[in-house]
Amino acid sequence: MPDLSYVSALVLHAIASGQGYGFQIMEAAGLPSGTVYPALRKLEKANLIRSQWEPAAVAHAEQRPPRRYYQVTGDAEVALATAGRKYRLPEFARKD
Amino acid sequence: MRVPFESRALLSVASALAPPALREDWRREWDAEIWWWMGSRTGGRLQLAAHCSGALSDAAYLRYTQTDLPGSIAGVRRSPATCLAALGVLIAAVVAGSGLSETRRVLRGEPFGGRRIVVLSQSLPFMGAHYGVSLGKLADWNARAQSIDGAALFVNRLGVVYVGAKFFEILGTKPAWGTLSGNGVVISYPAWRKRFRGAPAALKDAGVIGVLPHDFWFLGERADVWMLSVPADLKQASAVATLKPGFSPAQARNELRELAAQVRPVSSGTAVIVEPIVRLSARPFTTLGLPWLALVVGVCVASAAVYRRTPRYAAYLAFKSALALTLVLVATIEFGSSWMTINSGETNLAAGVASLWIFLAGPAAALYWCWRDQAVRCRICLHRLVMPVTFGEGARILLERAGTELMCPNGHGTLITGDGADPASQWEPMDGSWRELFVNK
Repeated sequence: MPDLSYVSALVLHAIASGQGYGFQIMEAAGLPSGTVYPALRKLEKANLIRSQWEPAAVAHAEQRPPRRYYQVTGDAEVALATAGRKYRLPEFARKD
Repeated sequence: MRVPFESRALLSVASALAPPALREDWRREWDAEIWWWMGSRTGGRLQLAAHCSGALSDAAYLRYTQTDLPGSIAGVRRSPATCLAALGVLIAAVVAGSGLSETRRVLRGEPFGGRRIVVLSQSLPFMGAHYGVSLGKLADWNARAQSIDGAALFVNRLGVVYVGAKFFEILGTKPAWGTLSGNGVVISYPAWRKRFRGAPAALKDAGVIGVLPHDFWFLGERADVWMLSVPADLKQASAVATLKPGFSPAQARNELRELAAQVRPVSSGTAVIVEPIVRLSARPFTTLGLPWLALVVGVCVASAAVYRRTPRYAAYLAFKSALALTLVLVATIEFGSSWMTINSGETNLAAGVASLWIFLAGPAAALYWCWRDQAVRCRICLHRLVMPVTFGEGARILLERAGTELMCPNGHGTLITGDGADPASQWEPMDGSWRELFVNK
């Protein structure tokens, strides 16, 4: 299990709270894009999150570009518990 | 929604940085990101650009973690564009380093403008090398010639240029300080600034009577010290003179030759040279320009003829050679023109040898390098070939081949370069069955 930095733990915590795509995660975590996106890549590489493109039809119906949604994996729970003991993570309003 | 220019530019740069295999997905995600930002935020263009700058760190992170960085750098080094870009950068460096001062000077006709100044010298019966005129002959021409006015000698000895009394007057040079006539030492403007910190008082103490102007130029001569005197042991020197109205350089040459023959028979083959200084100052262009053009045309024709079955390969060789020759041309004109204008005074074979060396060795080295580089490039994609594998031993094998086998990094084919007695190269295209191995390259 990788030792998460505060930023990675915050981003993972935001995703676990239901913030699904990049912009939403940035808004919730209060971090700039140049910090959030590398953290997302890092978490995905560590298999703590996985990503999936939403169906084009959904985006088309809402007249917007398709989003890439992020979800936590099973390993994320343990990593978040470890990070929770190490850092004080804020409470996010759950989106799901 | 239209994304402002600066944000689009940032995204494009970042997109180029992202690994090719992930680029499409990466760009889609960022396009959605920007779309969402513009729809929900009221910030201005700067805030959006700051937001987009995050794409750079995202792409850099992906490039760093998801790709083989050393492999990517090696791939860039091997690419045909890198070679051309390197030549372009070298040309730009020469242009920036020199400011194209020689080229601009010749194009503007500086610094002699409308003056009808000629340089007098003689040529040897062999090789056509220039050398000076005897001082007695110069004095005789000054006294009797109708076509020229006031010849003043000049000669460079160990970095000090000795000139006749009227030398600067003939050139029309105005001093930056003091006077440029009489008897004494004149120094260049850079020497004045560097050694005397531009102070006139110190010059008087050092016995300097004048300072040349900052834009003084005389046939590429870069001496700091100019003596308005003639060395006691001087036997011959070149000279500058003003051509009188109504006389051409050819008429002056005929007259001076006749005057010289009246005093003493001239050795056969020795010729009096009367050359306009404007033509001399443009000599690097006239000497190098035509051979450059001929070489470029020659390389284009030869490439097209030798590699007629692979026109892209031939065009690359021609373009690369033209760039390399242009680099040599610009560097020689800007940095070597002082060697190519005239030997200043007594016989100075080094000037001829140096200019000949640049003239021959520069283009030869450039073309040799182009040919060597081209020989190890893929005939299809023009990337430099990789994975050299040597086989056989040239000295031990009688009937079999020995050499090196190289492979195209994109799987287009292999090149077998012969060794020793079998120097021929052989290009073997790879068929489609090999492509699978190179899919991720």
